[in-house]
Amino acid sequence: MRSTLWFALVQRTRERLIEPLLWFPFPALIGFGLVIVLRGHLLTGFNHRLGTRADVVHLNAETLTAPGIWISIYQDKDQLVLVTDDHNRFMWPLGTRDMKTLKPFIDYLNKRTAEAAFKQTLSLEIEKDRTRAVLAVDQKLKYIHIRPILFALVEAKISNYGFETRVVN
Amino acid sequence: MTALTILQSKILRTKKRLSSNVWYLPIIVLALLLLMTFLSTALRGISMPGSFGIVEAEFPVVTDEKTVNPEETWAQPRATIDNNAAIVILTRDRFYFGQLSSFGKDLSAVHNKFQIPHIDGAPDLPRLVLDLSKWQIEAKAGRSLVFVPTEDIPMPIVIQCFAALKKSGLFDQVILGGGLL
Repeated sequence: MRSTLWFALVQRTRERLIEPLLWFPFPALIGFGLVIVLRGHLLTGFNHRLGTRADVVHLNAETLTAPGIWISIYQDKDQLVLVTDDHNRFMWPLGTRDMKTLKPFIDYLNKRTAEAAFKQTLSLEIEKDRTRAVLAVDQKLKYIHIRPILFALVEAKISNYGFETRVVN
Repeated sequence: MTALTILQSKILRTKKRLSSNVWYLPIIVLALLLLMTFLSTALRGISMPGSFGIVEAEFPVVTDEKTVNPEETWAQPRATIDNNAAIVILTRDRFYFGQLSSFGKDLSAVHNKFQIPHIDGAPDLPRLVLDLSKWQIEAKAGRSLVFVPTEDIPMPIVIQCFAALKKSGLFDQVILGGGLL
């Protein structure tokens, strides 16, 4: 009787091990898919350029080492959209001349420069790149669309800025 | 049913079960994972290269002489924009250049301004740099340049012209102007 039970147990185990476990790979697939989706679409902090639609000009220029205050600028229908490196989003009508619409953006720039100044004071270091505004401008935009942003930079007392380019070897 | 028949039936079922290749599905899924990894990496590599550059610019800073003397400030001015500074205006069909005073005071005069038409709609940057270098020596113009594109110029052209003027080495400061016209 004892050997029969043992034999039955061995048989059940063998069958269990031989039977294909169809559910096994799918959790891995789901996990992999989540990593792709989160990295590519949701956790844009992984790379601040993700999630923005600015296609910058192709031009060999000095290598961009520190992004500073990175601002992506592109057009969405009749709106100018600005997305910053910390995922703040600002919008106003294209070709606006009303400085009131820029006020939230100017306030944001003031806050960023104050934070950068505070960090530099604590670390007893001055890094010009930290308060530099880097504008990643979409190729479809014209100069009239960028002028309000330049005015906003002046209002926020940011004198150092630059245009991001894509270096093509 | 005899014990032999039961045994034979069991053996048959086991043979049938073992004959189906249970590794097919995991292999397919693993291959799919590898393919997705490869495609994801390739697409990210194509769409987002790691090398980005910057064309640096700056706004001129004005010191308030009523409260702080330039001698008292911690940073001495590198250059001063005066009437002697150069100005380049980019329009849809040509460049205009001259001294700042010629565009500020005598706007209608033609003897103190120069123009370089575009070639097939594209800015003639080599000729602009060449003419600027000759004019700079003759006119004894300053080493500061204000570059003013008109409103309808696409940004890629603005950035490329700005970068070319900076790269020319003719000027110490190149400033992107706005709202002057």
